[in-house]
Amino acid sequence: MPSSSSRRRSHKKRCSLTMEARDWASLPRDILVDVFLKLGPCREIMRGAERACTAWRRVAVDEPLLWRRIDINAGSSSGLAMARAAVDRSRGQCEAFSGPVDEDSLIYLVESAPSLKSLHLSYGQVGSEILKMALEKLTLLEDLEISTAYSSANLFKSICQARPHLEKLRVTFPDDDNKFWGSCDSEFYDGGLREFSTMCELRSLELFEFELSTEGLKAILDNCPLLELLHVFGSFFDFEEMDEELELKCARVKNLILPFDGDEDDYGYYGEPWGWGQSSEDEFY
Amino acid sequence: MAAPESGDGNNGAARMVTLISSDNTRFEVEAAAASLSQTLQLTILDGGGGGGDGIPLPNVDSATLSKVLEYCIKHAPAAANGGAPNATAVDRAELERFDNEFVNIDQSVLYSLIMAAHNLEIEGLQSLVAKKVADMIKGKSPMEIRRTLGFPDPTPEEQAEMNAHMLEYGWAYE
Repeated sequence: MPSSSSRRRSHKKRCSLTMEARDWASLPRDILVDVFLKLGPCREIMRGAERACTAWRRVAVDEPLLWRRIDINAGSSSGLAMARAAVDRSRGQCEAFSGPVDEDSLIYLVESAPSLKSLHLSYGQVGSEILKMALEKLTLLEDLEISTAYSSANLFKSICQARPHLEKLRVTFPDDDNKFWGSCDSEFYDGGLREFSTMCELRSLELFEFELSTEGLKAILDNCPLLELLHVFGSFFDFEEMDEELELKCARVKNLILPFDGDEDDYGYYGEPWGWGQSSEDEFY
Repeated sequence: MAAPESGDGNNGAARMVTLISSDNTRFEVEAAAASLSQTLQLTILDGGGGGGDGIPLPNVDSATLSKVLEYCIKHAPAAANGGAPNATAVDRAELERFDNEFVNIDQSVLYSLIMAAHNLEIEGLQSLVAKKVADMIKGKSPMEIRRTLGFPDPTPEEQAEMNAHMLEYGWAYE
């Protein structure tokens, strides 16, 4: 162990050194950035750390690196405000956004963060035209997740046309309470899945609270040659017997889960998943 | 383990180097362990730190250096395997247990450690201590953070800056 003639200092000197050394408020900037990056969701910085002292505040506000991955898990107007502030602070460097949007804030987001690779949208209503326009600007986008408060007959059409090179897509449809908002045509239930067009790089597709039809399933399988994972939770709608051709197409997907039809008519019914492959344990950012 | 100066460390297969803390304590340690420090790595590769020379570390005191080397010695074998792609789950679990225990320390020690890890650029340790500090402030209000870390009271100028910040971002906070 260490040997030193000057190992023991006076108690007084040790104390003053310790007090001086423990000035957490003036941690060097890059150490503080390391710490902030490990805090997780943005609200940890915005509601806590950055208001603890001026030095911390300045790092939070002035360091775009902290806002490359924005994760705001609040779905209220304050969530929208936090998202906007975070996007501003990223100064164009944001690569992943997960948080609430409305139409205005989505437009602002794509204009302020053109390098987004991953976009997870929750809360609010965004029309399919606005969504399409926004997605067209995100040329680097690989991963899209939408939890929509309402459904649109043109949802898939907008996504496929705007971003045919997506690798990962996940859509959560409205729950029972919101299902009948706005429209009552039959395509309403499946986001216009029949309009699904070529997604040549799509590897992972997940649909929740979804009503899958035979035709819709065919549309997916015919248009996504590289699909490795297909998970659909919800129920079958207008479902016909699978013919041999469709079964063969299904067999090409390594990891497949489809909703079990059963005898239930409830929209909210979740059956046992039916399919080949194992359920995914993929973590979604 | 770190040992007092012994003149030369070449009595076995592993090459040894000597590190000298700010308070002049000499630590003899395997070169592989000390090389976890990016700062020291080049000097060691150039053959420095051997024999009676020693590498002075003017910013790290002996108590902190001893702790840092404890980490390096534990992690050196895994690092030597290139991040240990073939490490067993047991090995990994053991390292994890060690890490958790390792940062279960007094705040002032943690502070010295975070500065030293940064100074010596020991990536794994930097990440470990940053995570520990983050865990200490996670979920806390600004006031609780100030109390936990013993921030000094703000000067009037600092208070004014914080008030202006709250005016600018107040709407985002509730």
